Amino acid sequence: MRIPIPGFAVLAFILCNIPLAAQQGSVETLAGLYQGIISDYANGKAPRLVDVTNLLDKVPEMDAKDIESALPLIEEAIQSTRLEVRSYGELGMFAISQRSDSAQLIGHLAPVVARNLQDPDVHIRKGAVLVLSGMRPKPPEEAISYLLSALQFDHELGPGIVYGLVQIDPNRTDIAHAIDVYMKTNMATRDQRVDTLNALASRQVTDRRLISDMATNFSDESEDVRLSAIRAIVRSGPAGVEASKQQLRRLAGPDEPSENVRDEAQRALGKPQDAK
Amino acid sequence: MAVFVDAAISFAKEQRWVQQAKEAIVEQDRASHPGMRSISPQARARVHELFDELELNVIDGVVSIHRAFGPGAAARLDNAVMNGFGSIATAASPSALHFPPPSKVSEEPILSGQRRLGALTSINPKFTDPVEDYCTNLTPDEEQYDEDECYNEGAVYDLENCECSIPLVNGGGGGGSSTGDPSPFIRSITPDTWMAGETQSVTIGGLYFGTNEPTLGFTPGSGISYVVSSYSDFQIVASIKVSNSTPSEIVGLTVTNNGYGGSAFFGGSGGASPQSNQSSATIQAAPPPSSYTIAYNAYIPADHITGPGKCTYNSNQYNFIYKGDGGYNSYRVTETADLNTTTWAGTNFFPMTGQTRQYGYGSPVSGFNLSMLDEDGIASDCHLWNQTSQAPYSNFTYSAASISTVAGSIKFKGSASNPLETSLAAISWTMTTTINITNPSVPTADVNYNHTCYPAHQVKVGPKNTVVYSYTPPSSSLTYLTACLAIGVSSLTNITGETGWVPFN
Repeated sequence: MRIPIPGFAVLAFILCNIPLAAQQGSVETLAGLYQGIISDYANGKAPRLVDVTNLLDKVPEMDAKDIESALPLIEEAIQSTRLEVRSYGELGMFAISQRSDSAQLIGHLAPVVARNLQDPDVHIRKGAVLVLSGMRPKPPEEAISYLLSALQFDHELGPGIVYGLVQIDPNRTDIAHAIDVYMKTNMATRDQRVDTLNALASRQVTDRRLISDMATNFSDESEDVRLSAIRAIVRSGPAGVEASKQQLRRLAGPDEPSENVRDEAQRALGKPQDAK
Repeated sequence: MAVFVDAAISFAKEQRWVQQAKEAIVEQDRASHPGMRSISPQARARVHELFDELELNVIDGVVSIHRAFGPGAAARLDNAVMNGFGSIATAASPSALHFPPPSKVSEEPILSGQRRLGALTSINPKFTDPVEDYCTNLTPDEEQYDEDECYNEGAVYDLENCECSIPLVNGGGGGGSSTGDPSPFIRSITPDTWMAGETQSVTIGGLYFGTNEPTLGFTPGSGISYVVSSYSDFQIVASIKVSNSTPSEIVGLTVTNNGYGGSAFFGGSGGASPQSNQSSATIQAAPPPSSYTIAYNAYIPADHITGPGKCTYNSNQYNFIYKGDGGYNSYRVTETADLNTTTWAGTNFFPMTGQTRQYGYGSPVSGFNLSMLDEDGIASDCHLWNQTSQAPYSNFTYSAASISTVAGSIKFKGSASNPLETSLAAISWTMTTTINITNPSVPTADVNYNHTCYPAHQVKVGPKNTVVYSYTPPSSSLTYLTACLAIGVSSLTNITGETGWVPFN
């Protein structure tokens, strides 16, 4: 004997057994993913990080329209009061920033992203720097302004901001000036000096002030810093090495206590190009 | 001569005790087997054991006297022992015991016959003839057979040869009877202490091991193997190997008699077991090494990965790719140190970073993995190999701590970023590995871990570099690693926990 089941009961059963995220949008789309993230956290649930990144890995191949339709939700996410949701929001913005058309897609959101440059959580601030400096083919001027400003107050992320600015254009007057000021005043720790020198180690860096700032670190008490300074000069190209030849000779001589530094300096003098 | 007198008194006391014990065994056996014409093989074995013990004690005593008085007096003392022990020592030649020359008195005496008991009883004519207790209601033929069997070719009384009746079945070995082969009996294991991690030559003394190669059994048997070097009915020499991981424990040893002269063991109507009594040996666990090496490393579990940094080639922007550690036996970061198992102090701290190799457009040339085809030797051109560098490691730290006499720990801590990329993305770790040697043969390690969710992290411990902690990230994509190393907040990206105790020897 068959027991008749009311239609509304079947519907209620189905609805109660579908994940909330799925009810609000397909997790196969960027919009569906962020709908799910926002609602999941609102309901005390949390997606797995790798499930989120697996979908974000597909962003470079997604249709621009699909991304545009998801932007309001991502914008909502990066302004969320929930730390994790803000983090996922920035991760989505980062994934989009890796596209060649990212400046066009998310350039107008630079002010929203820039608000997170003052977030108390360092990871959120890192995300903001990566998004603002990573947009292609070139971040909007507004984004560069936010980064130059951040370099003045966020000394913890200073080297990361320098790296982003070097990626944009290290020889722009305002950028070179901001980096020069930062290097002269705010590189308090050994790690900051090493990381900043690594950030400047680029063939694109030709500004004489920056070359001079790098060479100043030849006299640093830290072996790591002296090594990083030599490598940065070498990677800036033959002009940088030529300009620093006298100091490099000193580092290659017997007065230099570190054998590693002497070897690196001798390599720099013998071969401006990096050794294999 | 006090030594001699004491020994003689001791021998006489022991002789009386053995006699009483033998009578008790026989009486009890007859009571439990009414109607049997002879005592059971089990009772016979016990009597044999008593006699053998007595014999050994006599020999040990005589050897002690030899040592005490020096080799010069050895021969005279032999005679004195005989006189003091029995009333008619003159009837027994001291040579019956066949002691070695005085120059070799430190060695165990070598007895003339295969059965040493015969030598003892030959100098003790007052000892009650045990055959009378063994056998009852014998036919005349059987009595004659007993008479013949209880004396060996040298006319020396030999209990081993005694039979209660004409054997119907050839048991083969000594003591064989119509009731079948007696159960083997282990009397001694020399040495009876074995070191884990070593192979030792062990002599098993006893009775009725058979003339076919016997089998040894060990309980518990884990980690113990053996090879029989030589064997006879009363002695087995075996090379016994105890694995290094065997803990300190008592091991039961049994011998299984596999028969005589190519024939299988025959238990007879009494159903004698081919397996001996269980005797025991002690295994001493291998001492722990003076220190254990603990190694932490983080590595990229892929041939290469894509980084967030970009370069321009032919007016187009490309993300850099970086050589990974998958298949290259390399690492991004490592910290190793030795932890002393006595002081629990750390030594030989070794921090290091791996080489960072950056590639631009066109790599990997093979389409799959980086290869020599990617090594064009031209730097900073954004094409194939582009740069090489190495991250500093001077901020890597370690600290050792003693927790108790049997436990100590090492904490490795540090962070590092790709020197050719933004420093915003950094690997970080705090790994505390605790070693516990409560059981030195099975040391254990516990890892309290806290690290970023990228790349792979691993802790190895001990002489075999046993992996006691391993984390492999679920993805190596740019988005995943950027989340783990930069953007992801700690609650999403920190991998924390504790492994619990993991054996690593």
